[in-house]
Amino acid sequence: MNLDWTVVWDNRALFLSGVGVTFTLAVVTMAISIPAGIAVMLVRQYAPRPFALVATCFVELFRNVPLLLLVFWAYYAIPRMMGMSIGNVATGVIALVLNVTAYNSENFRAGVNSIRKGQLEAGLSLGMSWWEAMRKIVLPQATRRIIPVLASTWVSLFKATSLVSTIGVGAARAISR
Amino acid sequence: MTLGMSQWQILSRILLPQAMVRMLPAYGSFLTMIIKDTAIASVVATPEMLRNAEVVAQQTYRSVEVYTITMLLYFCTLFPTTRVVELIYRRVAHLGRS
Repeated sequence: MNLDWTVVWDNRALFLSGVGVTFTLAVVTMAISIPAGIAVMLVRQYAPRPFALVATCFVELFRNVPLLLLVFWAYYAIPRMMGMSIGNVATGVIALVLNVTAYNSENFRAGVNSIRKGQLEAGLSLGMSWWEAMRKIVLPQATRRIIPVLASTWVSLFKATSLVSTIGVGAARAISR
Repeated sequence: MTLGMSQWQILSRILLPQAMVRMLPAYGSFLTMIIKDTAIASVVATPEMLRNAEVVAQQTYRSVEVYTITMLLYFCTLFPTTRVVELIYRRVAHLGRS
């Protein structure tokens, strides 16, 4: 084997910018998909039936589709739907957001279901509105319980950003090719 | 132990059978994950579902249609898998209680 490691050092600027893009992708995706995950979960659990059904379909569809395919699909479908190209990074973020939102909503659902119903009812009986009780009592407790799961979603999101390289975003992996 | 079983007998006849049942849900989600990750093999031109879809898309220039249908195909493979594992688990869950 005749390996030449110096090429890595010679191209260090590219590698570093790739790390930057990976970080940006992961942070932006998570920043969008945590609130989005909570919203989808709330719709799925508490909204009237037709809305809940749509949310359930959303979660089950995007949880059961390979991320790589989702990236390709977004790459071709978004320009068609919006009538213009939005750039590769934004396309990658959208694909990642769809996938991670579905996962986050499942995580939050598990978290909220693990909080006893009495907590919400106690809030309501103190004169809080439903939304207040949810936001101030149930969600904080649920979030604390699912932090380990969120962390592992976060880690797999970091790894998943490498799939976005297939549509030409300069993440760490694309540069190494 | 009190029944005179050896370490190995305890493991193979009592602990593992119960543990296997309890592992089933985790193993089920792992299985769907593996099926999803087979799509990554298309990057090195393995002729699996996604790669073939890419070929068709490139030949016909109908990418949106091809990829949408491929998404549904994956969904139709994975969703039943999850459900079947869940069903099996519900049937054998009582065996995992200790």
